[in-house]
Amino acid sequence: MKTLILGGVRSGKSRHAAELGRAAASVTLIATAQPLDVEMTARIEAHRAGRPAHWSVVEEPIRLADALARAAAPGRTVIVDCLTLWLSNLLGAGEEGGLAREQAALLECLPRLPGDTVLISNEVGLGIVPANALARRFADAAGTLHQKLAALCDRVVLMAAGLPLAVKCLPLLLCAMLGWNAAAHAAGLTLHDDLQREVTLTEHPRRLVTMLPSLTETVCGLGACDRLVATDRFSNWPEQARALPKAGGLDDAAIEMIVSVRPDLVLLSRSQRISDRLGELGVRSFVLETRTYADIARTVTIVGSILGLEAEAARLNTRIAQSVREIGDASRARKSPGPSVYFEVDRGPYAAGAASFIGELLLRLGARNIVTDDLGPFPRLNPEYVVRHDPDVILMAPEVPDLADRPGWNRIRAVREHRLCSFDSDTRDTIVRPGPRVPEGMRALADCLARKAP
Amino acid sequence: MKAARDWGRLAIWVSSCSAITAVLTGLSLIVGTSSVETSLGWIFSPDAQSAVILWDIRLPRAVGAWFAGALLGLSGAVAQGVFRNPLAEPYLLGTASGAALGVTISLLAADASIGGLAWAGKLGVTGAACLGAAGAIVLTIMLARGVLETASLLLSGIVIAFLLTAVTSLLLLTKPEIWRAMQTFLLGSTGFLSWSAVLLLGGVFLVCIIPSTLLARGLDALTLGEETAQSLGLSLPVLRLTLLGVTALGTAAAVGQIGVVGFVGLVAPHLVRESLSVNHRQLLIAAPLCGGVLLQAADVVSRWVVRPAELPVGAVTACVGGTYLVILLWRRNRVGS
Repeated sequence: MKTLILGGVRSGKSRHAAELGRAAASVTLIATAQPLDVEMTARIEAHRAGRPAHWSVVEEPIRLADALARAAAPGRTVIVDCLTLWLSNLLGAGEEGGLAREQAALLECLPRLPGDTVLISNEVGLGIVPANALARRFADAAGTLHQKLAALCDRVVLMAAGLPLAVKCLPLLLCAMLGWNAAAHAAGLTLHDDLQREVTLTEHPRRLVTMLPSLTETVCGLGACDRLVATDRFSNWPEQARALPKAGGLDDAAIEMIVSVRPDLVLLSRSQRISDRLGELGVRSFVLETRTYADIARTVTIVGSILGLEAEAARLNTRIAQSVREIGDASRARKSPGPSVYFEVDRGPYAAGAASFIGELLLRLGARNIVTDDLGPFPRLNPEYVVRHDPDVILMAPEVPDLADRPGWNRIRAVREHRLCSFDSDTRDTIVRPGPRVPEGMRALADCLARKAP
Repeated sequence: MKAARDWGRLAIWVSSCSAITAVLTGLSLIVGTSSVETSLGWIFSPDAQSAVILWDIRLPRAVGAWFAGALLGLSGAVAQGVFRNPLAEPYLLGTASGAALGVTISLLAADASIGGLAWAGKLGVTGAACLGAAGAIVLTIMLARGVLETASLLLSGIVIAFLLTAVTSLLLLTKPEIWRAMQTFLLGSTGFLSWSAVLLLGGVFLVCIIPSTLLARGLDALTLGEETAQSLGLSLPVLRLTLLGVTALGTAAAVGQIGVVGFVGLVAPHLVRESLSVNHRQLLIAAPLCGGVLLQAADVVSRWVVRPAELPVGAVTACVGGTYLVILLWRRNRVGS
């Protein structure tokens, strides 16, 4: 789908483009701005701060068609912000024929691009005809370019005061389903969940059920705890969520309980059986899987858009990223090289490998995980493996049993020198749940490593 | 004269089972996450939401539980007849392990889009469990080289069960996260039964009950021993293959929808024989009714005890059924001594 977003200064164009990009698996932003002066630099910085962290950014002031062709891919949304600066860069470059060449290249490549493309441009032709020649030439160039692009795009949106006015929308039926009309408030949000289902929300849900502790904590972390009407039985934080009705677990959900609290939306992790059954009963559900550290920011961003709390989501992500960075830096500064560690998730023994989310936190703390990432995120180990790799510190998610009783383990340095970390159940929750409390969990890991590492 | 009396007793049994079923279905409608008074209020003045809860959640659950129980009761009665062993049960031929393997593969496939396994993800957990259960029975029959040798069938059933369990464990090692989802499924739950599941179970029940009652006389002859049965002009291969097919289909359908719910198939025929002296045709009519009532009752209990949460229905049947079997054995021993 090709979308052209027009609008005046500060009319909400970039924000609307971000909304369109939210559903995509990946987003690439082509920035055409050049930080030539202080004001421009500040503007670029402000845009950068408002962008979700997982977008990749390409800077291309002139050769836009080439950049588009390189960036476009199926399933990806490429956002060009913005054509106005690109045009003025071309006009300013003073190269004869450059403008015509680049424009022709853009118009030629646009229809053939895979994935979604969103073009942002300023509508500059509404005021009095400009007094100087360059500005007149610019307004002419922009106006003709917009006309040609609008003919090629499936959707054209005119932004005014943050509200999108659909000027052109194809195909009609889809646009009607998306709630795209002149008065569309928040423009009917369409998102893809982790089961690749398209979920359309006409308004932000006010009654939520969360079926996973990390999702409950994410919703509450965004300050929307009061929208929760039920949670799964394992959600025990914050206090407010603890008192809510419990709708079973992810695998044995109490369907009747979920239906009886009349949710607008059920947030859950992957469980085909529940989402199918809820679908049959006309209850909307959204599947989010948070597995890696990067997934935390993604989940926060998506839940933020679902709830209409984009700003809070951006703030929360910044806060998490900042704390994680600080804790990591402090820990790495303290000990270098870091200790070798073994994190036992379960007495299987199942370990948290370097590929797991816990492994990632340990890595950021400067620890060297003896369970390398080629073994998978949570491999079941031969106990001999731990003896052979002789970790400096052992971290245990379950209660510490007498590790010296395990055959051969009394030879492990960590066991001999009592370099063991264990955590009470509240702390353990913060470590194993990929949600907004990750910095707390990481701090607990860091504290223990600081105390126990040789 | 005796026959007439037996059919009369069966008629009483059938009508009392039907009455209990009606009562249990009524109870099913009012037991749930809401209080009984609220539920009663819903029945008399439903709004949109309570209508969904009553007619699209609780009712299909009650009816589906009945059909699943009936299928297990029927499969159990048929299995006990075919194997001439009162301890035979529907899961004898490796069904449970097959279902576990099916569920595991489907969860793995849904988890990581492993190219060749995409079909298993589409099939869903229920379809995969059903296919796995049916596949296990086919393997068992193939390993036993047909259906004639009771002993080799039973042994192959055990071998296949161990084999499939081993494969399941191996697969679980690659992704231990799915273990809990699989266990929960196997423990059995009626909570996900929808009207489409009820239609499926009802259809399978019809397909199963007709040939079994038609072949019931063959089972009577079989009680006299395989040689005698053959000398009475019975075609053993056809009889056993058809009846094992019925057991396989019935068990696989039930397992697919509600998981591995134990003891219903084992206990239902015994309960019938305890209270009636029946031939196989009568048993095959009465045992499904009994199985249906048992599972429905277990379902109501599972929702009642810890409401508004609920127990896995398989745990309830295991407690009740296990207790009953112990009492039965104890009483028999006393009579014997």
